[in-house]
Amino acid sequence: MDCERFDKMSLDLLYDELDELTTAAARRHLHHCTRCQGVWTKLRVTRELSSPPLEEPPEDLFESILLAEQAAHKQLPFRERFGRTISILAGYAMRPQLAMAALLLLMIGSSLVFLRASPSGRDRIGASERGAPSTELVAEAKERTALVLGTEGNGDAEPTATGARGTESAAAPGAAAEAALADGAGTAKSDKEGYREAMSAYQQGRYAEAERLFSEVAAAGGEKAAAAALHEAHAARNGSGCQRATALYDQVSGRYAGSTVADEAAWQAASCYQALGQIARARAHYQALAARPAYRTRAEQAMSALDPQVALASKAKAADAAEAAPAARAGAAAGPEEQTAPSAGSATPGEAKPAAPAAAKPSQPTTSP
Amino acid sequence: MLRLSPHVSPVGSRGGGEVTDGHAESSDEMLMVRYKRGDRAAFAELVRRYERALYNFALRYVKSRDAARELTQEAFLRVVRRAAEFRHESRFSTWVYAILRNLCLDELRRFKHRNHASLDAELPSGGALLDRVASDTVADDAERGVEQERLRVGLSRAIDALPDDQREVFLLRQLGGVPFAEIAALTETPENTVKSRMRYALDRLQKELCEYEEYARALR
Repeated sequence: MDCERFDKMSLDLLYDELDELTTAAARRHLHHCTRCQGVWTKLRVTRELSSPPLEEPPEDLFESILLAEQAAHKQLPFRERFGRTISILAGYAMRPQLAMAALLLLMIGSSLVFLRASPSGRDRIGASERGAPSTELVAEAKERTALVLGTEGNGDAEPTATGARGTESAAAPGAAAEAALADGAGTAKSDKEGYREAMSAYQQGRYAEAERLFSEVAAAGGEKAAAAALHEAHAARNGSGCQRATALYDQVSGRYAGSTVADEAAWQAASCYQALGQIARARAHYQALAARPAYRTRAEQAMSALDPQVALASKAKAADAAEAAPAARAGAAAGPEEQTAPSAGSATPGEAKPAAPAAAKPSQPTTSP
Repeated sequence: MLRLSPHVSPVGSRGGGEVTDGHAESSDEMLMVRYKRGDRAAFAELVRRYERALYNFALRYVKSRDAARELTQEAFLRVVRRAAEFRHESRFSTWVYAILRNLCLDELRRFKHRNHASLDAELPSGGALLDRVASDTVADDAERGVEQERLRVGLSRAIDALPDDQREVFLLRQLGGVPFAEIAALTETPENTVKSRMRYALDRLQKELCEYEEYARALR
């Protein structure tokens, strides 16, 4: 800082209107400049001594000012007084505690509004784990659809069938849902469609499902009932074996007696009995079939084939008896427990035990829907 | 009713004085805000801080005690009426001195037409006000040296002898504590001009004070 600049800012320095940096620079200049030291000393002393002497104001001035203020306050326009009142109230209202309380109330209020706006049951959407619509929701949708259709006079839904479908849908949610939706639309599935669906399952090797579907078609009656009952027995034989299938075959044979379906059922029952070693029952069925022209030849051949089986069965029985005699004697010498133990190869007279497990399950019959 | 202490800082802002209502630590601007909100004690504190300085400013301006008293009271009343106009953009001291200055200028204009009794004329005896103040001061404080009293009287005469524009700047800065920039704003004068007037005023006072021993002693 030079002397010229110091002169320019000496007044500001004198009345402390300079910032700290400039003040420090001016002080440094003063420290080594004799000329500016003289100027500065005169200015400082003049300021210190030139404070004007103050006269005391009149004693009543303070009170008169306050009285005048009181009077002036009353004379203020209503609008200004109202504004000051509002300002006073606003000063209280803007305090942090009130502001926080207002914010809290606002949050609670908005939360209640949003909670009330939860989705209604009508718009509810659900999905099962398999990605198919939930059966419960489908049933609800169907009921709503039925109500709508009923009011329009077009409702021809079948509650009973629908209930059955709903129960079955637990095993196959996708198919059941489709069926429920189809029923809800008022289009009942025909016998042919059911029979075709059952046959499809049968051909794909899903014998349990095929048996169930064929049973439904047979129970519903109609054109395909007899064929469905026969294939229900086929499915039972392929799925569970001859032991269960023979009963079904006999039912079909009795229910549809005189028809080709009954003859076929009797033939299949006979072959099953033969496979199970129940020769007498097999022979009885073959003899009955021999009276039917379509099965006479095959039935006679089957009966002739049964005779060697009977002979083999007799020989096996005699051999078992021969082996059992010394064993019984030895058993009598050893103890009573072994004597009473039945032989593994014992069989009922007139019945032959199957030679192999495969024989108990005859070849799959040809199916012609 | 509160009664102000006579020991009030001439500058005003956070001035000294006996505090009775807890407003001592508040700035002038905060007191004004409180008054706008209805706190009349805050206004009393402002009056307490500025009454003496404003009265003396008006006294130096119009040179009449009665006029100075009326002008000081009127300045505070205008503060009351215009409280809503006050903003924090400027200091309260600048605002109230601007009000008082305008009132003083109006009074001086009226004085020319009314042939107002001058400050010197209203003094009953003993000459001018400053002489009386000086003599009172001497009488009250006999311990002070005659030279010091001569300095005070001489200073008062020198201040009164200043040109109006220089005296105005000097009083606002020295008595009112108004910064140069704000003096420039309220007098609508460039700041450099304000500083020039202040420098001329100080130079004149310096020349007047040179003849006094008190001044010479201070320089030493």
